[in-house]
Amino acid sequence: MKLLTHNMLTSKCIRGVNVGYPLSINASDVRVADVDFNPDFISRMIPKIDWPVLYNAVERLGHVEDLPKETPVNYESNEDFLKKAHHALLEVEIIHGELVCPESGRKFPINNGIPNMLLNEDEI
Amino acid sequence: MASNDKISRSVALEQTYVHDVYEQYYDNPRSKPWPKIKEFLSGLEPGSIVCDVGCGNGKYLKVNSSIYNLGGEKSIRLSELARQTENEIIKLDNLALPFRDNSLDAVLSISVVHHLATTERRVCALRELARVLRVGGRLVITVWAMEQAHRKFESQDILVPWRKPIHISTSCDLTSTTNSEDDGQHPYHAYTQTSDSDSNKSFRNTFRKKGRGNHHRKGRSIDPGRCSSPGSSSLSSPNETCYSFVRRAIQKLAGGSRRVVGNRPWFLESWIACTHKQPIQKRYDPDGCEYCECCGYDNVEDQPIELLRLDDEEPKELPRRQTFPASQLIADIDALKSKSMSNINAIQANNNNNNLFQSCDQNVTSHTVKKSPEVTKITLTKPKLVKQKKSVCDEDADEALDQPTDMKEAITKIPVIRDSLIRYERGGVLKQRSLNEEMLSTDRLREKERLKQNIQKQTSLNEELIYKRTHTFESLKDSIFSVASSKKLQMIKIGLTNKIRNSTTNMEKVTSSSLKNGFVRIFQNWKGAELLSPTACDELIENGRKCQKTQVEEKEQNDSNTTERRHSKEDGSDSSKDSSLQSDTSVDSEDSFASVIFVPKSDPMSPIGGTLSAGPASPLLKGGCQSAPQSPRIKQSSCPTSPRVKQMSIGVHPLTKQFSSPKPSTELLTTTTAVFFPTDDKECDLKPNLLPVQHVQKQTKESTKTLAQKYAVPQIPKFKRTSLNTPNLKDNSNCISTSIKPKTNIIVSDGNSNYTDKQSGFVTLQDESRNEKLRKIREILCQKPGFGMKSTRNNCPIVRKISDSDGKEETIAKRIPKLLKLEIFNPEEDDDSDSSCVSSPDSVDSVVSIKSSSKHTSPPYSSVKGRFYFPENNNVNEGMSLLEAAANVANSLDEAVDKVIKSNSKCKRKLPTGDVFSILQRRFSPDTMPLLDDDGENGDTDGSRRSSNTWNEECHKHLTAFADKLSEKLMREIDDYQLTMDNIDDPYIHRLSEELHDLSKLSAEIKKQNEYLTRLSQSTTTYAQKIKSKTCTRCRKYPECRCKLFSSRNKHGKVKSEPNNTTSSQNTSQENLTTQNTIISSALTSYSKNSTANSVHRSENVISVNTVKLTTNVLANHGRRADCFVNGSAEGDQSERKRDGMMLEEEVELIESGRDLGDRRPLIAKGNSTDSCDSSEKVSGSSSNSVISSGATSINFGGPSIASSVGDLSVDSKDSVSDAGSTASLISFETKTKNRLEVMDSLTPGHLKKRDPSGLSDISQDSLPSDEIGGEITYHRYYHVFREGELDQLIDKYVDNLHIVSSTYEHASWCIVAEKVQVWTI
Repeated sequence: MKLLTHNMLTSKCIRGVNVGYPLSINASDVRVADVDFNPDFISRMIPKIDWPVLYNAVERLGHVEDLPKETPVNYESNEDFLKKAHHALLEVEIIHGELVCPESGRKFPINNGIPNMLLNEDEI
Repeated sequence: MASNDKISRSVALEQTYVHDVYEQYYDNPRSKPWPKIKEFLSGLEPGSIVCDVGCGNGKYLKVNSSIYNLGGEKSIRLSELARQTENEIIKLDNLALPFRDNSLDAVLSISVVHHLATTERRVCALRELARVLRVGGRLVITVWAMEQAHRKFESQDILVPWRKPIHISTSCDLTSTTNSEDDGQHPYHAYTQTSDSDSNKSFRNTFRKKGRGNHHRKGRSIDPGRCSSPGSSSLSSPNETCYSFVRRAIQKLAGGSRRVVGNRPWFLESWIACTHKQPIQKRYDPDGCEYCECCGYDNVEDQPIELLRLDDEEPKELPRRQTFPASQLIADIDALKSKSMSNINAIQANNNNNNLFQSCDQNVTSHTVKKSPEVTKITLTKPKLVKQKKSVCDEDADEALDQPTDMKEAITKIPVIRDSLIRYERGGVLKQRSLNEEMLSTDRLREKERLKQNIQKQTSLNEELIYKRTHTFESLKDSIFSVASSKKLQMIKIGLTNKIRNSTTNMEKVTSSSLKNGFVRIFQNWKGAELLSPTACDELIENGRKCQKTQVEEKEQNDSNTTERRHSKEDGSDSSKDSSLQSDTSVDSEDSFASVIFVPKSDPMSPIGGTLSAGPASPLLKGGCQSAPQSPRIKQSSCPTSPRVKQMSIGVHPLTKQFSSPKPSTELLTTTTAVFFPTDDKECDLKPNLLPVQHVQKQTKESTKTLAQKYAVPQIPKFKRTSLNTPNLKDNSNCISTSIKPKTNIIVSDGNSNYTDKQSGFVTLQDESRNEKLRKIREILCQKPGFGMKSTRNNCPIVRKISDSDGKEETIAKRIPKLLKLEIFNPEEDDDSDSSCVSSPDSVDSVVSIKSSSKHTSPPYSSVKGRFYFPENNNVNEGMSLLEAAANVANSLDEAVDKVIKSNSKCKRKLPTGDVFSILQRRFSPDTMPLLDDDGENGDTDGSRRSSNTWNEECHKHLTAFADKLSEKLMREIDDYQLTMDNIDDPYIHRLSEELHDLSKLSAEIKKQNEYLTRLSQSTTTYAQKIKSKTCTRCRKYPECRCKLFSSRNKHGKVKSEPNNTTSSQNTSQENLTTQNTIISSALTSYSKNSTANSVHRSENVISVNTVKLTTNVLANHGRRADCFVNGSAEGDQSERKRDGMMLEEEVELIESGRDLGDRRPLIAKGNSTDSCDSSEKVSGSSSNSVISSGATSINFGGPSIASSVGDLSVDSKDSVSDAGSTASLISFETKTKNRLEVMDSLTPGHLKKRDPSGLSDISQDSLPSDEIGGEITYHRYYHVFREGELDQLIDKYVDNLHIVSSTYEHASWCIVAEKVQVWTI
């Protein structure tokens, strides 16, 4: 699971959970893979994501590296930032671990890079 | 509560038919991204976050690399599969998307929403999709359209079969569905269908057929290109798998309440009908499914099962439930099944009609012909069901006999089902309904009355006989029978009340107790009589062995128990009789089941008189047959409905074995079973037995007017013979003991010797009922004394011949009693049929039921055919040169078959089948000849002409009339067969098997008839008159059949009944001899039917397997089937040939099928070798060249050889040897059927586990072929097909923030592109 994906995930579907975001990460296996860098793609993606959540996730995983806590003003032209963002968003993958609902503590296992966000019928 | 139930149901449905299926789903590598979706994805601006909810294997995740593709998938397997290509996959549920609100730029929902079972859930899914979508984001939704160019759905909720290549295990849990099934109001018929699935293979097939047919229609017309690659063969196999799936679901739901078995005939019929429709299936193109699959589902080759709404069917269910007070659950299930059946039938009818009207390139006429047979089948099955219901009622309450109204209600109920069908097939269905209802009601009433009378008479007769014969055993018998029978009866009752499962357990217990009792009895018998003692010892040994056997062996144990009972009965012939009498009386008053059992016995004997009792029994048997195409099933089913089964068993000895054990009536059953068993072990013995029986009958005719006395006298001699033979039997039994069956056979032989008295008692009982008939017959006999003499003479030589064959002679003598018993039963039926025209339908039903019991799959056909054969034979008998005529007919038939084959352009592949058909037609020749004329008119007509020439003018007239009728039917069947051959679908195979069965039966009957004819030559005039009357009735029936499919089915039944009547009349004239012959023939036919049914089922299974994929199991099954067929001699050969033909076709079509064929062939060869050994033994015993030839022909798979063998048999039939040969063949069939049953039983227990023994066996059989044999499992995916605008309305009405940008129809799907808009709430 890429951190970009994590940035989208929520556990709000759980009954009683209002926000369920962000999901905390307990990663046991983190893999960094090379992904083709597409500055346009990243620049378009930055406004779609919750940067603090991403930063916290990267920080949680220990791959912060020089990733700024906040997005620079002109990130579209900041290729260095875009590369860092690219690395954080697309190249850091959680292979095994779990996501934890911040409200209910419900854990969503991550196996083979696939987060299992399925809920039981009684949880919806 | 309702909402919760609905939710739980929908969840369960989705889990079972969507999620679980997709866990097994094999993504079609061919599947390619849908161009429209691809275009949509490509049009998204870079950096868009897109989630494909329900991404499947992730084929849309690589379309556009400039966007961030998230794949959402619930299936673990698919998600992992999609993940393998480095896609970002999330396991999620569309109903609870784990995304933030307004987080996604685009969402794909490709072929997902249509998998949700309720509107609420669909709306919820749409809302979730809209929620996660950002404002301005676009959502693409594709759902399967109900209005498809290639297919038309009767219901929006459908189950689309999907075959999994090689997986044997199905992961679907139907337990959840069961809940839904219980509720009659379930929105999804899928539940009910699934519940019905056990017996619903036909249903599913029909559904598939429907869908396919529709698809073909539209698809071809609209999109021929798409239709180009519909794997017909593959389609057929899925049907079976679907069937198994349904079975599983039903099993889970019902929890072993297999009473439904009775309904199976319906399914079978429907299946057959489906087969008729199969050509359409072939035509069908899964394109629509494929397109839908393109969105995520590929390879929907199978036709969908439409989940019809229960509301329409519910009223029908209620009446059934009423009829079945004891087991409402079962009744409900049955009702569900019936509903589904009705729906299926309707669908089939629609398909048929459509096919006919559409006049596809394929044989339109053949479709029509097929339809008519189907209809006849359906009608037959329906009456059976009604009878079954009646019998159930009787069993449940002793008053059942007194309550004909219940039966009427059941009948009316059945019509309701028909009504549903009629909806689709309006005209014909209505007519059929009326006919069936009337027939059923009248038949049931008559049967009930007759049964009562018969029971009383039988009891008196039995008592008299028993007392007269042996007093020493009376005490023992009384003790044994009273205890065992009472226990058994009680157990049976309890089991029935408790449900089939309980009954099965009880049955087992009873069997154990019966075994114990049998041992005790045996010992007592030893003390009482020396002659009996050896047999008793053998029996004890056998019993011990049997006791040691496991559950699978339980069936065998039951058999052995029955045999033991028989032995005990035999040992104390008087006691056995007494016990039988007691059981009869007790059964009548105390145990409805027991009474039913006795009645059935009488019923089979006298369809007319005993139709009332037999009616219920026959329905049970039929039901068993239907439910369990294979005989084992019948046995199992019999356990719950043991009484019925027993009754049926009388007709169908193998079945009776199982049934006999559970209930007191088992005595009779045991006797019959014993006869069958011996026949299995030693066909030769059976032949001799038959001969003595005939002698006895002759004696009875001559000596005493009262049949009971006659029977008693003959029986005694038989007993002596058996006793003498006992040492040999012991030896044989020892040799055979290795195989359980042989043991049982030996036991039976012993039991025959000992039980001969009992049997005589039974016979006497039957005779009592028959006595009235016999009186008539006697009059006729007075006119035709020569017939009896002839038969006796013929029989005597056979016996002598048997004696020549070493120890077999003795065994033969022993077996002879059995045959005699069987024969006796048949005569009663014949008498009954003769007595009343109205009874004719009943008799037909009863006969059919008996036959059906043996022929689970194709009871109606077989019975019909058998009946036809009988009439033909009778006609022949009437004519002095009947034998010659028969031979001529057979020759003509052979020629016709050859011509037909040649004419059938459908090629060499079809040739075998065509041969088979032609052979069958030839066998039916008298009637079929004209029909053949249509197809291969020349040969058939010639044969008919030849036969007619030989026959007397009157006979000619009658025969011609019959031939015309039969020919019409045959033509239809032939056309159907041809179509089936072309299609190579399972239905064809079924038909072929049925035809084969019928042919074999007919051949056997013809042989017998030939003998009779020679005897009856003097009484030809009387017969001619009878035949004329019969022919008239037949003619009437025929037109009706033509009028409508259902009517045609009814007509078939009527026709069958008519032949039976003719036969019965002939029998009456011939008296005991004829009756014996008829009985034997009926028994043989029943066996053959069973075998054929089994073979048919197997063939179907095999076909499906082939289509799906070749599996060793399938091969084994084929081999088994082949063996059975081989054992069946000519009949078996025919069936085998048909199968071979089918196999050949399959080979041509499918390489895999070719492999299967090859495997099957070896198996067949093995079976042939074994069978040939049996046949050789039989032949040696009979020393009849004809028999040998038949055996050789049987060994030979060539269709013509079968015809030739038939012809030979007919020619030889003049000689007593021919009769013996036929009997031997029949015996071999019986033995084969028994073996099959045993095999099935052995197989079934594992599958069925703890269900009713009878139901288990049947179910196991059904499930086995599909599950075990069929390597591929057909999964069904649930679809809710959307009507035009339905999805749009859903979005507009329930999803406010979605604005539909475009709504298009593409690839059989509705494709909607919606944009999320900001909703301003003031």
